[in-house]
Amino acid sequence: MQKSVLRILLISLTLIWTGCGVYQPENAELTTTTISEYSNPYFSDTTKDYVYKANMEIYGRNLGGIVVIKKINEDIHRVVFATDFGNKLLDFEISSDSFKVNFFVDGMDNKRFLKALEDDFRMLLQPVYAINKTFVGKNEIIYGSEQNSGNIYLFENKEDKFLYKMIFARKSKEKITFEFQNKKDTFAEHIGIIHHNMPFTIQLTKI
Amino acid sequence: MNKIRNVFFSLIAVFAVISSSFAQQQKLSANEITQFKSGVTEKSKKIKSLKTDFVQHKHMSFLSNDIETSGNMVFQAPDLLNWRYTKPYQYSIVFKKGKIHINDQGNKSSFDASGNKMFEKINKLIIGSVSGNMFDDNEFSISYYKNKTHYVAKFIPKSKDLKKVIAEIELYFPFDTFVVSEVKLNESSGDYTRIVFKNQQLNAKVSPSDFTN
Repeated sequence: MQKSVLRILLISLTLIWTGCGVYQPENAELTTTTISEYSNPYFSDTTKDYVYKANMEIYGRNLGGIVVIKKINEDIHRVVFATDFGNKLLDFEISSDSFKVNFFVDGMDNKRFLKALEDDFRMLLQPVYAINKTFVGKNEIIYGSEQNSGNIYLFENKEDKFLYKMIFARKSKEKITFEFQNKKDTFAEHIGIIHHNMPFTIQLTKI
Repeated sequence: MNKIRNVFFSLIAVFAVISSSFAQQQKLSANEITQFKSGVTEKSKKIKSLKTDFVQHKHMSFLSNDIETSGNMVFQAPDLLNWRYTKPYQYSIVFKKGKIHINDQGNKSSFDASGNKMFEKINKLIIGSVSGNMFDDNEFSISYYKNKTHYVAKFIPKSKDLKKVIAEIELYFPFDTFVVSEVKLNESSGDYTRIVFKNQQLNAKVSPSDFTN
């Protein structure tokens, strides 16, 4: 009886331990970190207007419109959500440690929705990531950075050195994936933001 | 030498004043307002349908350039409208029998606008902007101007809800046509949307398929 109880206890502890583990990118090995920071190539040019056609799916609802992003200075980006007619729906400014809403229409001020946008766009627009881990895969180098009580992993293609994906993870679970399709450096052609713990995705297509 | 320089600068100053007065708008007199409104109302009565291309410029103060989109529009009196963006993306919105039908790059959705006061106001505003027939003193404070080539009617919404979305609408009517050639939607922030109509066809043939998404 005692042996079977012990066995069950050991198995349970193993399962709990696995669940508490830290996320590690698949098919990649930990290697020496040789850089202290990684510069985000996207949205980094203050002279450019980054204008996207946006499609959001949130809890089964489909919302379309335009998203405009502008780098205001070294730290701050301004983000505007608008209808296709151009009417502003939401206007905020964001940096690594601030989030200021300039304008919203009724319905765009849901706290959970705004928090999700704040977290997503902070990661998307962050100019520089402090790197503390590096992994090597077959075709990519993956840089890890501590963010928002978790880690963000930056996937750079070995061949063309483009940042094509970011994964935000807490403990052992992927929470958010950012995917970039790119032909030029600072203006990604297409960006997907996919939440894994709630039915929320944002697709941005350059216009 | 000083005399020549003074003449030169005076000429520049005069030219600047003349140029600015071309863009300046003069308020219409009471008689002119009556004539203008009567001209537009008469013309809009004769408009059974309207097909037009448009170019839209969205101005936001913090951007380096205006955002430009373009497309076409079909209107059938009294209240059928298909507003279609074709460049740089496909998006269309049809106003039909109290319902709004959207096709956003293949994603279709519809909803009932009737009974929703805000949507009804916006519906009426868009159709009124296109047809020029929106001289409703109950809904708007209206003022009238002219410049060198156009009458300009300015509408300030009286409804608080509508004011949140649009601070002022400007409609431009060429002197010779009394048909809206340009719409400017001003926001309280100073940002605006300017829509210029081109290749307008009055009373061209339209069919039900023009109003399906």
